[in-house]
Amino acid sequence: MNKNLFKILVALVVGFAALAVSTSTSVSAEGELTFTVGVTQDIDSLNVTVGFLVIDYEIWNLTLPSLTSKAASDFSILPYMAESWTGSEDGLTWTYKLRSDMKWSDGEPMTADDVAYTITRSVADGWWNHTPVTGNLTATATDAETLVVTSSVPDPKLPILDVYIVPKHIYEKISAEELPNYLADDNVSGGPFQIVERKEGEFVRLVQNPNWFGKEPAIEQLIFRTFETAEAQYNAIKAGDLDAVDDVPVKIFTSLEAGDEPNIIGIAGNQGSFSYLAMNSSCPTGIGDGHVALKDPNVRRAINWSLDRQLMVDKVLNGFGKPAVSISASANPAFDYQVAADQTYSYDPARAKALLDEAGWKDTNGDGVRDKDGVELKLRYFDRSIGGASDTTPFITGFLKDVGIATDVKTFDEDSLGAIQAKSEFDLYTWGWSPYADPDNMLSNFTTAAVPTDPTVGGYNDGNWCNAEYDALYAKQKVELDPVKRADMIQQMHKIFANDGPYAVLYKYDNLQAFRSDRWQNFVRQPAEVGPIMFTQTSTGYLDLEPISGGSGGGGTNTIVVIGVALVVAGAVFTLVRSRRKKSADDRQ
Amino acid sequence: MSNRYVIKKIIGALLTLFAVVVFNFFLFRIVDRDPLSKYRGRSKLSLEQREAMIRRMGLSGSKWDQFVVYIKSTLRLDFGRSFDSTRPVLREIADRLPATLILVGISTALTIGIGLYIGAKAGWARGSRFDRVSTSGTMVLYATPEFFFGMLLLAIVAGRTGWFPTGGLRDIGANYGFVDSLLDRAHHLVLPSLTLTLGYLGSYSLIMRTSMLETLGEDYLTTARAKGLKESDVMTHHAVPNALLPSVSVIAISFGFVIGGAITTETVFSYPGLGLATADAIRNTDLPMLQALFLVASAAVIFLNLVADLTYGLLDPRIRHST
Repeated sequence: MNKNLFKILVALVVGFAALAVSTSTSVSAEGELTFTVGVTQDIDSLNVTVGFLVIDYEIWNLTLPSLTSKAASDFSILPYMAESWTGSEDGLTWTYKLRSDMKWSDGEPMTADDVAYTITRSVADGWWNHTPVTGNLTATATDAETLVVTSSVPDPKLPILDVYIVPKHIYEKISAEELPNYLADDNVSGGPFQIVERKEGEFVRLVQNPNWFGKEPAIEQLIFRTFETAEAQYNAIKAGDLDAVDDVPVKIFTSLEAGDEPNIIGIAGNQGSFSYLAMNSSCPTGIGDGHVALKDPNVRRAINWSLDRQLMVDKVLNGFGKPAVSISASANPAFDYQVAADQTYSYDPARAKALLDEAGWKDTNGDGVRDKDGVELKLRYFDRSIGGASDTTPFITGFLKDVGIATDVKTFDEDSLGAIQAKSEFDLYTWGWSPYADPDNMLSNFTTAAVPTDPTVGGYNDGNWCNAEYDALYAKQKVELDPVKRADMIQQMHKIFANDGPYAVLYKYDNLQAFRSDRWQNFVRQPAEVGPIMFTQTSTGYLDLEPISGGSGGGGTNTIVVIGVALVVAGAVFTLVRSRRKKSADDRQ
Repeated sequence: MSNRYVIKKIIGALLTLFAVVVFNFFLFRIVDRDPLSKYRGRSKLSLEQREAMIRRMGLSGSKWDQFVVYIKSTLRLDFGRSFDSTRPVLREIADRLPATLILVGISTALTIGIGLYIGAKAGWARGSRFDRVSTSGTMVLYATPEFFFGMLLLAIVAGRTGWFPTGGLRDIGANYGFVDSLLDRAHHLVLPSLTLTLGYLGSYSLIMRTSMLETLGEDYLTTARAKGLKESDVMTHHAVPNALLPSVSVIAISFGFVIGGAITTETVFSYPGLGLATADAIRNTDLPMLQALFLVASAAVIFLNLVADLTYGLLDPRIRHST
């Protein structure tokens, strides 16, 4: 009997505890206003010298300061660590006046010394996230609030200094040899938020940085939760476990747009991300084994003419994007290729066939595949296994087949395809780029210097393409301080790239994001009007978000369910107890 | 049970384990994967640094040298570093093991309890309405992949009603006391463990039903009835213990799979256990992780198979005497 009493007690305890949990989960224990974002990508590395994924940049944007910031509207310069700046007459030297009230989250002072250290060390150690900006710079801190930056050449990017500043007092303890394996888990922050907890593959949790000196966010706690599938992620925002979701699949987004979920708003933002088909152009200074046909610009042009880009935008993106014929040099659409529709590629298979004929590739043996000098025009076509990356493949291979080009499709994981690209051992492959605010970085990817020459090092010129005229223009725009002249040079580079280049750019795709509109308001896009809210150049969207008073909190446990579970448990225990008692009575019979 | 029987079984298990270790070495070296691809183009590594890192990974020298290094480090339980996270593989696995043990442990216990109960009852009352309904029900469960249940539960129970969390291990960032955090974890466990229970219920129930049917005509049941025992006692005390024997090895082996985790269920519910780690490692071609996960999973099955063999010997006198 005592034993039975114990069981009943257990049932009651479970029931009460269940009730307790139901009343305590609607807000976190500290009562912090939490914004939870669902992501399908896990952090690659928090180490700013190693990481490269979009999610890594989002965390750095929120935890590492930069000398200057960029306006959400047009990426123009804004104060950040620096309050003001003056340039020398020749434009080579800039003097920045820094705020005096800055501290890292651990209380150490944040000064001009941190900036000078970051610039100097990034050049010395060749930090790949930094050197595109800092490579030509030297910096000295004349005092805690004054920084002098000198460029060895005229630099149109200045006075914007768009790199993450690292805490000197942490990084100076780590040698160059140790740095690649440094996990950056000391969580020292100089941005609006600081990391307080991270479980790999699960979540990263940030709270407000107490020493933050900029605009105070309404969000007190920011959580990025990793999901394995986009469907699970979508169910989580529907259930109210999430406040926002990045990378919503096109089909789900379409149903959101149709108003299927009144509490969820979908935002399709464009910041220049584009997909392309790279064609191995076999630059003579490079390595690799690209198909001989692709060396001929006419064959590459023919491939460009053979594609129905609008069809792919309609079918693969459900319309959330737009066809493109050249790269996006910048997240700012002002730097896009400005060309009249009738002056560039459209869907014209006849023209593609004519170009191939002209280039000498004809179907001489009647097998439906063009050939020349005994070589078949059959191209190795590689794509990626990650979600959606191969959706364009059946379209593209179909278009190519229509004009007499055969393909042999293979799918790889990203790392393996990256390794193949580093050796330039492919004919065609599909991938995507997302540009920065300044066009220099994207444009640099197609210079001869970026052609892979050593497979262990690789190179960003993934079309294995070189063009002396493009290189010369790149070098000129890099040092052109007149923005109008620079923009004109960039347009000329676009023209060369589109006409002669190693890409068939397919389209610019939108970043599809979803938000709980019953809980949050003031969604500020970057760039203005066309861009997304999260995963932007500066990630300032989180600072603008405001809660809707009376909106239901996230992550709550439904009281009725908990009571139900408690009742079931109690019922089960009672049944067990009763059956035992009955049994012992039977035994006595 | 003779010592010879035990020793024979233990040696057999050790040999199998060794074969797995050797097989693992060659299996994961078929894949051509640059171990330093993570650093390609991102980190300026000198040739010396690259060579040092590759040597530390045990990937330098001839295949035979690598094999020796591999065997030595495996014996020390040093599985190297994950290509993906660059953390030691053993730490990755140790971090995720508890989550999987709890999830698959609970659902295996539930599956065994409920499955054997249904199977025994259905077999005992062969042809009854309970038998017809439960057998067709368990057949359906048996034939449906568990991730399908998972997706249904996720979309309907979690997504629509919000009664249960849509994934993960716990409420992130909540600062609960001990009891509350225990309940929070239990709350997160409900749907994944229900999914697994539904997914595996069928096979236990069907096995138990079959072996129950085999005992129905046995003489000892007639004897028991002749002694005047109640029908329910004949079933629980005489039929069930004998019918349980064939289930023992199935149960033991499935406990072995506990360690391997439930890849699809953990993926559907973003539940960070070993199953999810396996899925991630496959996606990222993270060979050291895969190698260790395969080894741990195989070792668990081999070990529990050994336990089953030994228990079987204890339970069944015929095995005890025939060796």
